[in-house]
Amino acid sequence: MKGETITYIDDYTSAKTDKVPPVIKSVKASNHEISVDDLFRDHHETVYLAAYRVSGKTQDAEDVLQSVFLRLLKRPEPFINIGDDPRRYLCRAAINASFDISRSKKNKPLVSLDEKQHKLEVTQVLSTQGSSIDKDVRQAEQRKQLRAALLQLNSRAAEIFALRYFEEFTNAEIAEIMQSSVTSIGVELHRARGRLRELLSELED
Amino acid sequence: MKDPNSDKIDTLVAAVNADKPSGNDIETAAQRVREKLLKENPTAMIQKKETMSVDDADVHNHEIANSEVVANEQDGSAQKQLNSLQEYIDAIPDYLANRLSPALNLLFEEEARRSIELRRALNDAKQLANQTVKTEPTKTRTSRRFAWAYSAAAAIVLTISFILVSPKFPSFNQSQLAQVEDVSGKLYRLEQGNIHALSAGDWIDGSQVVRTAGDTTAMLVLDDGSRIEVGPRAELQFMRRSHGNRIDVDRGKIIVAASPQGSGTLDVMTEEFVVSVVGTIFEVGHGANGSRVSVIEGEVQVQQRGDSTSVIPGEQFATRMGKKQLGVESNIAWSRNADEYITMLQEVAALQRDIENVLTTEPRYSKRLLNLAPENTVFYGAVPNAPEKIVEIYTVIRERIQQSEIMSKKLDSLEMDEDLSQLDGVINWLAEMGDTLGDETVAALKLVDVASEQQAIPVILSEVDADAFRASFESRLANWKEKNLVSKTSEGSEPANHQPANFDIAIIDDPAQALPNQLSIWLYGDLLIATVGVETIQEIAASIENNGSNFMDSGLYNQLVSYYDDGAKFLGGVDLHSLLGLQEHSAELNAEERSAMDLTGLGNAQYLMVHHSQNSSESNLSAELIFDSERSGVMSWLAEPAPMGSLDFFSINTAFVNASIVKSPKLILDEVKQISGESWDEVSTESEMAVKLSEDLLMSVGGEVAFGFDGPALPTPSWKIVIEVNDETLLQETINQIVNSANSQMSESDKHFEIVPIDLGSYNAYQVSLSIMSNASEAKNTAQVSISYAYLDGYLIATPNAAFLERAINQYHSGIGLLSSQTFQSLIARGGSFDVSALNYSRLDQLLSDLTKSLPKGLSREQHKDFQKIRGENREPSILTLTGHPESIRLTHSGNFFPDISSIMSMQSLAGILLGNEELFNETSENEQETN
Repeated sequence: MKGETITYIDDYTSAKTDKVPPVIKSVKASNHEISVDDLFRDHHETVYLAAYRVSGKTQDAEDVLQSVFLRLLKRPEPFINIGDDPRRYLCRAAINASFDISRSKKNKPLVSLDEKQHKLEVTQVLSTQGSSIDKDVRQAEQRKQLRAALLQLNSRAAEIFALRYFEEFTNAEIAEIMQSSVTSIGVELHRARGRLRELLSELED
Repeated sequence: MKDPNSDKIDTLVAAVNADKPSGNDIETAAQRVREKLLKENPTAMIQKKETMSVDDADVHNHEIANSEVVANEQDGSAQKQLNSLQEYIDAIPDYLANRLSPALNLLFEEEARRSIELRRALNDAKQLANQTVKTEPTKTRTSRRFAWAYSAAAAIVLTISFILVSPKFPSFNQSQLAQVEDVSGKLYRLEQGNIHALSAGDWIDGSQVVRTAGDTTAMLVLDDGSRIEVGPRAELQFMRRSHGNRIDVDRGKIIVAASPQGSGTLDVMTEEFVVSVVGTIFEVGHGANGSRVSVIEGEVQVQQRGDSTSVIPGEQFATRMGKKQLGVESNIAWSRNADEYITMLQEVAALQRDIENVLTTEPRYSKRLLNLAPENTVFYGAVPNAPEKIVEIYTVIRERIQQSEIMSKKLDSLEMDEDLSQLDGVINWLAEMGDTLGDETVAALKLVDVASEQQAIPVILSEVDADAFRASFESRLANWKEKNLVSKTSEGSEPANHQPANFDIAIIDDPAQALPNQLSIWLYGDLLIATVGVETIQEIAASIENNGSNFMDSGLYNQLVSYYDDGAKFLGGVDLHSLLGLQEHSAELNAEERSAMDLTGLGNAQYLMVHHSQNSSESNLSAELIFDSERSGVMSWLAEPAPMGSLDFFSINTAFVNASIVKSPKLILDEVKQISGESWDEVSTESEMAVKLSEDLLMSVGGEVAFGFDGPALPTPSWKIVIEVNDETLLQETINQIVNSANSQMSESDKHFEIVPIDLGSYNAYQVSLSIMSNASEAKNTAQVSISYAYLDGYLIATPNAAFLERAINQYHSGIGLLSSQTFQSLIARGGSFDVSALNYSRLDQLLSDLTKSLPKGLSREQHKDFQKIRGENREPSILTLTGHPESIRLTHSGNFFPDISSIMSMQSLAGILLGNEELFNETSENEQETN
């Protein structure tokens, strides 16, 4: 699992933009008292990036970040049910909220504005230069394909896939998060990959 | 062995993981969210609590996707919610008595700043309270022991309101954000896949999706006073924010007259850009060809991927075309205030022209030859830089005329055979002389009255190397004359009909040397003028003297000039009005012929303009049929361009699709009946039912329809039809009645229709089956043909079976459709239209690919090889679009114009292989049934 290094900083805005959150306070350690604000300072980047990887849109990632923490605020006891490791709870909440938002936007392409515009710009440059293949365009297309295919999986399969491959939790960790068995998670991941292969093949052809 | 598709998934995962926003973006977003959270509930946000390790079973809560926020009191008392204006008004007493929590107090004050109604109610309440205080001077004083708490709360509120106001977040209250001022046509609100009609006075809440039907415009007023004029087939939603509202345009066009926004901005967003304004008038459109903003007054800022562009009046910024200064007038012509806006723009344009005159440069293409075309020219063809192309154009035109019955008849009636023969001769000569001709060659036909009959006089104009031409031409002419003389002598008879005996060709140095029945080629400086007869060449000589001909005053000239302004390549223009004279001859038509002509709507066709450009990799054709008044008859059926939601149901791998928007089907039927003089009263009682059903059917559907092939081609072609639906209930009832009616009529036959609902999630879906029973043997056999369809977001989607239907719906929800296809986008962008009225998109390579994937199992190795060879050939996709404007129809074509010979041969061999293996299809069909 990612994020095992514990680093404390004073200003959360100085956090590095890496997939691994630089600030992980162990909430479990000695049951010390924390606030939602502390949780936000520590994990906003984790939540934002988990949401972005699913939706591909910065605006949606921001909405998810807000939604996840708003929900915590609205609870009488914010830290009930978040488990020993808040990152697990927050990643799962972010992934599900992102999938929900993406599914609710029926008519809108899943490619982010940034991606789409980037692709257009690259295409325009390429067309003027006479080139036909470009790595960035190809990668944008790949991201678009995978996100579109994920939306066509059932919600549990999509969630497990995102936890495993986007957030890089182990099968055992996912089993704990999902309150399932490791074997069951392994089977569901295998099926999810199989279904994705079919969907991607359709998209490709 | 490792599965290559597994690698593929890993590659895609790596691509997703490699993509991340910048650290600055994340932290900026986090700051905004944190401020919002603090504003929402500062106490809960900063209060430290002990963590509790319990299960996390309720993590998956779909409600968190819903961004609607409800402010709650969390002090243990009854929860108070502020979602609507009424709830705010109800909360006034609590606000005045300082009984609201800090968060709600802040929320209330924020709303009071924004809402005139709330402010008014608050003022009334304060006045009432003052009066009450005056009349009840002995009111109980607030307990002093709570005074410190109120002071602290007020201090917190003030502090938070200064620190934590975040301009870009949705407000708590999204109710009654916009109001419908008036609607011309049909305005809908979309809710859970269903549509609900809106009318003047209705309120629209934030995040509700609003859609206009075709031929509809609506005026909406936002709570900040901004006025939004919504064009046909548009879809949009609003969001209330602390500092300025936000409008999301999913498709279509809107014109925004933004009120002054104070310190905030009104943001209009599409999928491709954000337009921010503080008070101005501008148009935003979003369609198949990207997003566009056209500014009428003021200035707007357009943001695309971090880049900001300023757009001023008269300018247009389109995401795929950049910024330019053309076309704004036509963009806003749909508006009910178009005249006002256009006048405004013309003033700006006049200023820009003055500036351009100061900075004037040489035109891209010279109009020297165009200006010399003779008066009454009815056909003009120009081929810059490639004189020999005239021959090809002429040949194509002759072929097209021959294929057109109406044009052939007209030409026959003009008795122009002799003239055309002469023109043929001229064209043949030009083909030989091409090398000596200059940068541009023009072929024109001048219409003249000779003894009350109209004749067409051909004219060739070109820049030329006179000496080289003379040397080459005279030698060829001598050879030709000698050959002709030999031919006449040896045959002892008159020459062939196409070359009259008394016809001659001569190079002349003075127009006075021109003779009747002679093709005179006058070389004047670097100009070549070739024509038949005397008058025309003398007219052109006068035009050279006067630096231009009377043709320059004609409408056809004005049409042609605009092409030269933009850079003409292969250009053709026909004055249909003069050439065909349909209007002049309409008096000679009988009632039936006049009715037929009215129905075609071609009676008022005035000009046909064709322009073709060919680059190394791009072929683009545009044609425009221009009318002298508003389109009528069949020509008017094509609706004005608008976004096509039906294309969202087609995937990026669609092999072929036809989509179009026509006027309301009911209006078309009424128009046909009106033209043909048919009346409902004349309908027999027997067919009354059918008429009623037809009417209901046409009333329940909209004007948008798309048909295409999207998926496997064999054994069941994966066709798909998408039809716009105005009234789902009426349409379904009508379909039920049609099925019942058909069954009652076929009660004696062995055919039977059945319509049954099918389970497709939350969608209303049905399957219509036609069973055909046969008694060929003792046992009864039943063959069944079926169609599955469903209703979704105002469309009916029909496919051959439920599996395809489900795939189409998933495709729609995935949001990655044909409109996202890079190939599609690049092709449609070449046409230059923002939206279109109809399109045909075809990918022969995709169709062959689909066929290859669906190959029957029993094909031989050689046949498989043939298929692979066919599939491997490179074929460019193509798109043809039609754009209907009030007085014209424009056609554009990009991509392969005609299939190349190898493609045709490939298709032939494909058909040969498939048709020669009929039994293989039976086998495949059986396999498919087993699979199902």
